[in-house]
Amino acid sequence: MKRILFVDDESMVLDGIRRMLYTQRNRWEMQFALGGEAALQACEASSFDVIVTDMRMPGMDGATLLGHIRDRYPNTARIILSGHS
Amino acid sequence: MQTRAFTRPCQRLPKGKQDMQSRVSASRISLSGPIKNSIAVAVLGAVGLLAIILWTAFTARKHVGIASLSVFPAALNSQRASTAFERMNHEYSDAVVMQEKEALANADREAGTVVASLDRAGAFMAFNSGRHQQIVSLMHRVTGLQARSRMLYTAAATVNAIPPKQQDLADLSRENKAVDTALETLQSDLTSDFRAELDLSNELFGILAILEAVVLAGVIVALFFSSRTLIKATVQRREDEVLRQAHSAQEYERRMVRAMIDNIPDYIYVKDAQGRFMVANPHLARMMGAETPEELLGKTDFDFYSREVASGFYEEEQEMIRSGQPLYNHEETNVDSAGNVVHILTTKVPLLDSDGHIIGIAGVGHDITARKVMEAALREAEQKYRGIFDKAVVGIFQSTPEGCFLSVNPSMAFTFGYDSPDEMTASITDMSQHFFANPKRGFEFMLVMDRIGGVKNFECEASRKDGSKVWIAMSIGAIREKGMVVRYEGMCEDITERKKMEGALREAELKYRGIFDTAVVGILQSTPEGRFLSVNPSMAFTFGYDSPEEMIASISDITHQFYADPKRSEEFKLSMEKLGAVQNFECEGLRKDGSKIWLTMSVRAIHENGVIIRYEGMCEDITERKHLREQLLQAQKLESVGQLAAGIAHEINTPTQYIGDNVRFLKDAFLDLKGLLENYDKLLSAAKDNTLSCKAIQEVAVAVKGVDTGYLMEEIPKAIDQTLEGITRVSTIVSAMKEFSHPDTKEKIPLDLNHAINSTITVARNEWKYVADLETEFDPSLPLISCLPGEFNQVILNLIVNASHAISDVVKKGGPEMGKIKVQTRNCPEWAEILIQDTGTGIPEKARSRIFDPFFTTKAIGKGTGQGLAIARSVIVDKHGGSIHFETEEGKGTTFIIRLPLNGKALPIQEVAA
Repeated sequence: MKRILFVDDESMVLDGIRRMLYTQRNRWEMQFALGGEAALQACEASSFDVIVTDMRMPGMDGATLLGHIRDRYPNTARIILSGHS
Repeated sequence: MQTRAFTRPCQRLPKGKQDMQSRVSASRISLSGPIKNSIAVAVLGAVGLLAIILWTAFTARKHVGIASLSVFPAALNSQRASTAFERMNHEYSDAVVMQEKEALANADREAGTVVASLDRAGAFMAFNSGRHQQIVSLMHRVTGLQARSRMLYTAAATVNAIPPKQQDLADLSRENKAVDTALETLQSDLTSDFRAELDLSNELFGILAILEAVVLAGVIVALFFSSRTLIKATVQRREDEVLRQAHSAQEYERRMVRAMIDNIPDYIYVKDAQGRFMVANPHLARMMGAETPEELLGKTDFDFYSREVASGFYEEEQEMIRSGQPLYNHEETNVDSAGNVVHILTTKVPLLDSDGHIIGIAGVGHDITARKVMEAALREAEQKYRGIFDKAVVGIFQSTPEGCFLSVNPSMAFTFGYDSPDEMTASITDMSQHFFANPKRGFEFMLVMDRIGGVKNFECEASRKDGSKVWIAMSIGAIREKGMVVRYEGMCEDITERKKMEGALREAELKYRGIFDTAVVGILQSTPEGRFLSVNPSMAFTFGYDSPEEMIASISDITHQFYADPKRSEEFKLSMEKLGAVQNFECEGLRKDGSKIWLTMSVRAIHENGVIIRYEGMCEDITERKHLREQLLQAQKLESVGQLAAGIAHEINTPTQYIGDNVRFLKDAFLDLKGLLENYDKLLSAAKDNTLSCKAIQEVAVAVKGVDTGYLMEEIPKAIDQTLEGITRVSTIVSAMKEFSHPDTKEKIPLDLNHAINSTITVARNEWKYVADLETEFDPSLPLISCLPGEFNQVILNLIVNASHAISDVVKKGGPEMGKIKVQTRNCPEWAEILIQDTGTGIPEKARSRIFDPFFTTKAIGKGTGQGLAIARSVIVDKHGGSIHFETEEGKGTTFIIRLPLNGKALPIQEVAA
């Protein structure tokens, strides 16, 4: 099963994604992190195949987070999911 | 006649003078005595010669000679008698007819002459008895005629006498004629006798000539001796004559002096050693209260004056008698008999006898009372004018027409740098050289003085003692005596200061006139009553008038002809009365064609005695600027809205995203639950039909197991709640946006500031939420405030955005990741206060004074246009009468404080806090 980490500063956005992708629960193992710091902690705890993050976040923003991920976990696929178009 | 001179000498004085002159000429004739003497000698010689001739003739032709000698004078006498008779006759008739006493006397005299002439003729003719008889009878007839005429006159002259008889007059006339004829006869007889004698004597002359020659020699000798005797006698007579004349002159002088003493209008007196009057004249007597000078004689001053006064005189005179020193022109004061004070100029001299002893004094006193009074008046006037002259602030001077100062006053000397008036008059001897700085002007001065005889406010530059120049104005008049200009008199004023001031004034006037005329802004003066006093061309053109004059003339009521809204005029006047000035007073004005323009006026009131007499100030057409400002505000609003748009999109996108996710989940969950529900339906039908099989139950169990109902039961309500919450969030943002921009409201409306601020915070959330936590502390007691909501929100937005930027700068510089923004409202007594506090960088000291200036920004290019705070200030201060200021500390943050008046009345402008 693929492991996917979703990162956003809004918990409601994460809730929504979790519920929406509930149907895929048998295909993907999904985790949710509220903000960049939480995402890095999650990465330390276990590895992920894919990381999907919001761009604009207070504190550590998406770009920064993905920079860290690229440095530390180069095999993790990095995807930006943003409300900005 | 000289006796009468004593009594009426005044009239007789000229006559006396005449006498004296004739006397003098008489003495001159007598001085030429030697000539007279020689004439006498010659006559004597001639007589001697005649005697010798007579003697010779007598011896030669005795009777003929005598006759010829006698006839000649007799004929003459008879002719004289005839002439005198004619006169006598004439005068008698006058006397008789006109009753003239003088004519009668003359006639008598003439009658005497006739008789005397005839008598003489008779005497000569004594040897001729016939002729003698004729003459004697004629004499008798003349005497008779004289007596009759006199009688007739007496008869005519007597008052009550009978008028002279015609018969008598006729008789007299006849007798007259007869005498006349007889006289003529006598005359012709004598003449013919004389001719006969003359012929005879001619014959004798031949013999006589020889005799004459002989006798002449003797005569010359006799003449020599006789003339010596005669000269001696003449000299003796001359001496006698001089003596006689001297005596007569002395007498004359005595009388003249007496006449003078008596009539001179001075006091003349002689006193003896005891002070008794010996001589006094009538003038003195009158003064002393006596009727005639004689009353004074023998008396002393003590008889007339008070003891004090009299003893004063007495002492003085006694001293003179002792010392022999005369007293000349001594002024003394006296009181006359009428009690008037009289001033007398006295000269007293000691009187000497023939041995040189002082026997008294002689005095002459001249009444100088009138002169004294005049002198006193003159002195007073002189003192007065001297005071003016000495103390006058203006220079006063006198000069000769040639330009030499005669006198100058101290002020004049001081003006020209001299230590004293004397120094100045001594130094300047020629005004044209030493006085006038410009010789041409000096020449003009002389010319004008010469032509017109005076100048008034003649302005020129003059040289001072040290060579420096001074501007003066002179007013001078020429003083004439007997038609000749003798001097100039005038005043001279130092006008250097005035000249300087005039120059400066002119320059200033020119300068300000230039500014006034060419200024781009309108400059105006007006009365509080609403009339323009002056406007500059710019002002007139701004308002569509062709000239300032047209504008001044056209507008007689500023309130209604100048203001588009008369209410603004009232506000203007109120400000003027309360504050004395307005600054940047904005209003709409009316142009000549009725169109409106926006104005800003800065005007102050000019007071005089506490009353506003006029307004003065500037007026600028800001229509264009106002439009630009509106556009700028709009542009800035659009800019910030544009800037916000992305954030807002994000803000809306986020809830939209999870709303969509949740709805999708609910759709899936519904499908799952639908399938499960179908299984349950089958199970229910089977149960109803009693066909419930294990297999059917097994299928349902599998379906339930596949659906994870527990999860769905838990998540579906949450998904619904979160969806609804998301929708609320979206609508909140949308309504906040609407509230923020207030596109429909262009006028002030009562506004709930807390609500408005909250909306703005919402709209701007995306601007601050990534860098700061925002805390609000709204005062719920805040009343509604009259506001332009769109513009107010703009201000709050600008400040929040600025706060966010300031904090993000701190974050970028490696500070804490999240700052803090605190928005507070407070209800103060006079105003509502809004504080927006951040933990940003603070405002650098250099920028503090300029942050409200348009186009001033410290932000990176593209991050700000420098309009935010300028607009904030314009909106809060200009449009809401509020104030905006800040407190800042570098590295700690900034707090902006906005105050809005609760009652709409403008707040005093706050100083920018350091």
